[in-house]
Amino acid sequence: MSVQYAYDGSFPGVLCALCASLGEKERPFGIVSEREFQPALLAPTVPVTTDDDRAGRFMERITTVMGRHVRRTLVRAFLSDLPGRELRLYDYLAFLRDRGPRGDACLTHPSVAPVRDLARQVTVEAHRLTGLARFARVDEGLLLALMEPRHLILPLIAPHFIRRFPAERWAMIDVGRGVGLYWDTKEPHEIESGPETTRLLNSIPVEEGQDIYEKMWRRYFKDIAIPERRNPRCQRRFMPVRYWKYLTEKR
Amino acid sequence: MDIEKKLQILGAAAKYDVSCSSSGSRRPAPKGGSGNGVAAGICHSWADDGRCISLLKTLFTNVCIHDCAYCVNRRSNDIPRAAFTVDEICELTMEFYRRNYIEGLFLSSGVMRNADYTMERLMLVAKKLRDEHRFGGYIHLKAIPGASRELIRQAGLHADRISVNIELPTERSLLLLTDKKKEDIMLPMGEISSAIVENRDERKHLRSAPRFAPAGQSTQLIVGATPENDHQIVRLSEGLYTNYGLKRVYYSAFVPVSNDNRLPALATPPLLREHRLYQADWLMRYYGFAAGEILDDRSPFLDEEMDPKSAWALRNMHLFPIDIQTAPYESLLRVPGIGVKSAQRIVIARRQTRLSYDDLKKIGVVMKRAKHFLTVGGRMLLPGSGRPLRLIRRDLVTRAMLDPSRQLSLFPA
Repeated sequence: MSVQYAYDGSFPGVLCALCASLGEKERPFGIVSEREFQPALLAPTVPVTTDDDRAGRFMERITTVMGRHVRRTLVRAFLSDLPGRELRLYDYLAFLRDRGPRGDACLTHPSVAPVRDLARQVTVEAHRLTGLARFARVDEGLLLALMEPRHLILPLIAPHFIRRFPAERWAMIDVGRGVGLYWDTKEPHEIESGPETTRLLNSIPVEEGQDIYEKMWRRYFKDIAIPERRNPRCQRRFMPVRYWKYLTEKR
Repeated sequence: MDIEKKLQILGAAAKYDVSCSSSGSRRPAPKGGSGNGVAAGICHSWADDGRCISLLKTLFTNVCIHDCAYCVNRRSNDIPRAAFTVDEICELTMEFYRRNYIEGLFLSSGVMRNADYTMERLMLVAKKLRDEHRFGGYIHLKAIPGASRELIRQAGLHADRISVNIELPTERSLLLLTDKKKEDIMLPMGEISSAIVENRDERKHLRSAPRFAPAGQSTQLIVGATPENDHQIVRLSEGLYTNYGLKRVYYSAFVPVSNDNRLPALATPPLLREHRLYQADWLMRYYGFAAGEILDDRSPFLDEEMDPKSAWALRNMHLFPIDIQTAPYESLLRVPGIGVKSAQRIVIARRQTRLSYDDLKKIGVVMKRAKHFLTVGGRMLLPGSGRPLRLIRRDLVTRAMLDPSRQLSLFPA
């Protein structure tokens, strides 16, 4: 009888769940995080304990046997943070197990295409937000960026901003998920939802238009467009409206 | 005049420069400083005209000793004038950059006093940003025609990219509308190009040699202000890519900025023509096409109804159909409806499996166009594809661009 695996929602957690389920003959009924967990009528639930060592070894094996590209696809598809991605990861890995590492090149296969597509969406959004993230100056010279990305892209874009602003103190917060990252000019710190996040969120200047550079940027943004070429459709295609909430120039 | 007012004047005055690319340079953040170069480039916003904003694009000054008829900053135009100081631009760049508004600075200028004086200001901005602000982000400087070789060389040591705008595609037009000569533009362009080549050689032997304009050189042509045809423009671009090693040629649909009777009166800028020229440019840079394949003297203008690759394919039906399973990558690239990405995907995926119609669709091929040019195992992809030319042509026409109702929403008056 096919079972449903419940894991803690973390990446090592899902790796342990995948590792366990791939050892069984039957395709699992589901792999769900505790957050989304609902008892299934027909499938018994197997809780998965997260074991970092086991997850690490599993990932290493995937990398050596299947290649770095598969590892990258796996990580990114998981960061899509969309429901149902775990079972797609299972199908992907099960297919690669049977077909061998070349299976990843079956771009249109129903076990491969959806996972590669998820990974691509995540890559696209991460790249987009390296451009669309907006810092505002808050207390004591701290730069703070708020965002509500569709996918969990913070771990992907953090290294970019560490490389870019190594000498600045800055923080980024994924408002929807309540997670964030703080860079103190030496090392990154994870910010979990809690009093620290609330404090940072409250430190944003309440009054708009205090920062003269924000004001100049808004005006510049208007002036740089050629009126005879107005093209709002094109603008929205590259810069979807869902990002506008945190864009200085569109807010 | 305060910095806010200056940016209003000088930022707006820079909008007719098309280039905003921040790609081609990889540079780590300097110790204790801010900013790095990302090879792929990053867009930070998109303006109301749909163009990407990657750099703070501004003029140093809109004061100009020249009187070029097509230019909004021409001497005889009665507009407010302003000039930044070197420090003001540095400050703006750094503060915008810290807020992640921009990837760097694109600094152009009218010619104040003389070419050397202006070029020196631009060079000093770049130098100060690098040395004092320890800025590692992207810097694109305009080379001012007529400036001394030494100043341009110094500018290139601090900047990622340098460009000289050709603006008008032939010397005749140049003489008609400006007080510049062809040499004023082509000379610095040639010098920059050889400096880049020399620098590349030098760095082969000595890794620590300073880099000269690592993101290369670009230029811009105005389309529709003068009577040149597309064939002349495409040939010129091809020459610039092969002889001068340019990274990019930008095309700018002419937007009337004066009532000068030497200029055509256009109701709207020729945006579709500009779009087709960009497509032709892409064919030369990424698809292995030569200018002579895209256009010739008998048909000197690009077909506005369809993209230039489709037009080429229609003229060359004897080369098709090709087989999806065995055709080399270079031939796949020439099929209408197949782009660089889908051609690459086809090559990867076909080693694993025989590709079907649905596979190609999933890969991203535009089947409406491509189906007329492909076979699978010796058979046409669909019954009814590869039909008479007249019907194939119907599938190749990009209707969306010609549909008058859409045209209205795209380019309102």
